[in-house]
Amino acid sequence: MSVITPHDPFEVARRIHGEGSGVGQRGKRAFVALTRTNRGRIGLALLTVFLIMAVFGPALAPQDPNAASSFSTSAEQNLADPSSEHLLGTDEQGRDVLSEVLYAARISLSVGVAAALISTILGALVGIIAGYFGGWVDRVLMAIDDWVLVIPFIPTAIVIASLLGRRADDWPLGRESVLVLVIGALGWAGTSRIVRSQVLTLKERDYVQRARVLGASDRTIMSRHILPGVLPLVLANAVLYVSVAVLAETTLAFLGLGDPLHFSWGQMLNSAYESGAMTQAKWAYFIPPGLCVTLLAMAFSLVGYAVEEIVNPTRRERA
Amino acid sequence: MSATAVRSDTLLEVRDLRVVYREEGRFVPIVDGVSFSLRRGEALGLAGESGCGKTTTALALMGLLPSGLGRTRGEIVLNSKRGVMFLHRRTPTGWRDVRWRTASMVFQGAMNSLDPVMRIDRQIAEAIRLHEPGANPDVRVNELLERVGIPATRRRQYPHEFSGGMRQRVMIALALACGPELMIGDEPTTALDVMTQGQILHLLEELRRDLGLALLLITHDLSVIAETCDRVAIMYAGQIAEQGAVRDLIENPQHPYTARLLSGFSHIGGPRTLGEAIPGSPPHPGENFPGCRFAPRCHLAFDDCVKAPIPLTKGSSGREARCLLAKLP
Amino acid sequence: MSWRFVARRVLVALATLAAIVVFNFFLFRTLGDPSKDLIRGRLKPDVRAAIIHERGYDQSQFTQFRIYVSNLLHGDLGDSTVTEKPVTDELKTAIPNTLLLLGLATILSMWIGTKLGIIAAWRRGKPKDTWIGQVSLAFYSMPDFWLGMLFIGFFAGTLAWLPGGLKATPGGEGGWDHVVDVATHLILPTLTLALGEIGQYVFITRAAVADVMDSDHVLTARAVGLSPLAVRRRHIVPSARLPIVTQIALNLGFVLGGAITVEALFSWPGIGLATLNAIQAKDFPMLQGLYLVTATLVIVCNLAADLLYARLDPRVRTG
Repeated sequence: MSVITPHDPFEVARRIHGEGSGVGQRGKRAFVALTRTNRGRIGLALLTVFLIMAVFGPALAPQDPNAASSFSTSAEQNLADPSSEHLLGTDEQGRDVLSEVLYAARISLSVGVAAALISTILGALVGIIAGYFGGWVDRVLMAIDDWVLVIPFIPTAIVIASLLGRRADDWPLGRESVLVLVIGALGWAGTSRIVRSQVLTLKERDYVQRARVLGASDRTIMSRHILPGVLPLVLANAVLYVSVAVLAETTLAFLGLGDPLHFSWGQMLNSAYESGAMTQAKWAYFIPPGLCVTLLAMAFSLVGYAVEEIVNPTRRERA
Repeated sequence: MSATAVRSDTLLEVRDLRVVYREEGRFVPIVDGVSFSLRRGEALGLAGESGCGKTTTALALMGLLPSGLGRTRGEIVLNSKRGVMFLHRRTPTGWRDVRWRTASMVFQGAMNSLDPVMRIDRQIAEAIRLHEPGANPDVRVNELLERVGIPATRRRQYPHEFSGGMRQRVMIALALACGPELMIGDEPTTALDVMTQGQILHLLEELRRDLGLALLLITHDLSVIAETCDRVAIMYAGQIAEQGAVRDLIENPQHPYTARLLSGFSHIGGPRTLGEAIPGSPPHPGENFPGCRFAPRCHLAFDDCVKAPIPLTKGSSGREARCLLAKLP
Repeated sequence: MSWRFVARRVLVALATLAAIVVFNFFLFRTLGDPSKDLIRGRLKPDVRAAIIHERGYDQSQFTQFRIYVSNLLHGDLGDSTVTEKPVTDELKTAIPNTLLLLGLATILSMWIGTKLGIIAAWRRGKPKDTWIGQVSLAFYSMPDFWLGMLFIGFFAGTLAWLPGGLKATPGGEGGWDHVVDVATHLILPTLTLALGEIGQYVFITRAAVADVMDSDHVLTARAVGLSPLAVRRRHIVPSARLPIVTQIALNLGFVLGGAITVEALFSWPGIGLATLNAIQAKDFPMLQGLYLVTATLVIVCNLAADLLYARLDPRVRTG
């Protein structure tokens, strides 16, 4: 029974933006549909908050954690409890925790997004090539894919980041760049599988067959016909993967593979751990960064699932 | 809801059945006032396009409507050997007593209708044990399988190890497990090739003859009905458009829809033409029609057709048609 | 299940393992420099040169690889640069500890997770489903160790009910008291890890069960007259187990990552803590050995999951 109800998000979106099939129109429809689902709304709201934090954080922060003036002059100012001067207290070096949280937003967010982008692009490329060309290309790529899937993510990331870390001190974002590369390089395997199966379906569609018969080159077909077809799926996957990437970065930074100069929320948790903040019950120090990571990951997950529902109609549930 | 008596040789009587879909405070009828009856050992075909409500009708007869669908009006009376059952009054627990013992169902695409991780003998035995606790099902399972033409040596195999036609036979064996008086087939042969289709229909025919089974056959394929059924009811947009003996209906259709459906079939030896498709498409459930629902697509429609709901014109021996142009003696 | 089937799977697992060994070796050699990483201390140039020659670091990569593999097959994973004792010594105590923690946490989270997932699917669209989903997502989005920090801060810090780290109180007696002691120390880390992983089991189970609920054979089961509970137990759950098993296998890599951080946080003397220490001390032989162990663990679990899947799904066995 496919009776369409008036409050169905997809139907509303269709009514507003019409039935066109151009990428732009489909994008607009998807966005409207997104805003009409509960998950989409909460997720987007949270994302907006974090985006503001990332962009305007340094401007809003009372202190610059990297400035020399922020460090304390006497030991009693370290790990201070929240006060009117320091809303979240100070860290083990006397710096204002609230400022740190705001500054760290940039790093955590950009590392997550960058890593997700890298792995999504890689995954999509591999998926399209494997799915389109088939044959031994497909077999080889999928064998590699299988193997990458087996490699344990965090342990491998740990090893590579440890080995590379030392050399990265003068890269932009320092050691955090290493994390971007590592998380990006290890996460493409899942995406490629999904893209590949989608490509296999698209390959058999009429308009692709027609293009082939008309003599279009492989590259043209892949970019003009296949790519738009997998784009929605790739997008959904990318958003979901940001969530994974953010958590991965936090974990690696906590283990000491981050960069104290370009610190993220994970790095903050590392400092908190090292300085014994939890046994001393300095809640204001280690709750905010962890909470931010949790909410950011949740936000991307919510939006990601909502997008996935829009993109993959078979996943829409019957009431 | 008064329960008027039924004739003793009538097995199933459906009166004014309505099934609606709840949507945002209003009710969308999927089945809108369907009435028919089935005698013991008789085969009735229920035909129509997809979405006309025939499957929903069948599910309603077994109390298997999915959530979101509810019956609001109508009577379903089953005159079984174990007593008269007013199915429209059954509670969910009450249904479990009726199902399979009195009426069973064969679904379309047995590809997925059988549990893929259960051996077929176990699945059949489960049904037997449920309705006859304490019975030893093994002998019965063998008998049932042999009856439908499956060697009993294959009893411990899984559904995916059988071909489509064989799986459908297993499904039929399952449906017979508790000795029902009525068997409902929902597109039982649609997913099969023509040869296998014939075999399955032949099997159903045999069973009907040997066991006195009544058959309600739901399909969009009129040729299947022509071959197997005694009577047929044509459904359109949730209502019965025309009903009667198969021979009568085919030779003398009184509803334009029936006529169009029949024109799609070419006759061997006749002119080589392609049947014309009926223009337009069936209405969405919930669309409002002041008059005849088929009028927008009907080549014989005239003014009166869209003014008021069309009553059923009744003829003799169960013949009826919902059309102002119908002429039934 | 035929022996040929099992043998084939085992062979694939071994091949994957071999690939990991190669990967592991060349990873450390290409990204690192054995002469710096694996030799410690300030040494005179000629002493250093002698050691390099003795260990074969001046030979070709392939010769080194041969040496590495033959050592490996003899159970020699090199010596830790920190303790100067064989890596295998450390591993011998670390691995059982990790298996204990990981095993308990996985059993707990799988058991509760699948139960919740079934409830959520059974009550699809109703409030119970929504809030089970939201709570699971929240726990899933939390960095495992952050949750642990909260627990430590609360239960060990503020309430001082449970120990905040280590496996056992130092200086305790053996026997039954020791077992109880370890058990109390196990509570928080197990709880932390279990809660962190529970989310994915809830999701997977819910999706799997919801999928099966809509399938035709469930309709058949209802039509036969089985009670809803019997339908669920006999026809829904058995089919739902299949995707659950697959997903669990796929997620193992991430679970291990979580285990590492939780161990590090609680100073639980397992692979995780060893990894943390190795990172900090730049103890590369240890890191290399640990990586091999974790990868092997994942491969073994994947193999087990594969065979379990075949046991549950008759369609795979005859294929």
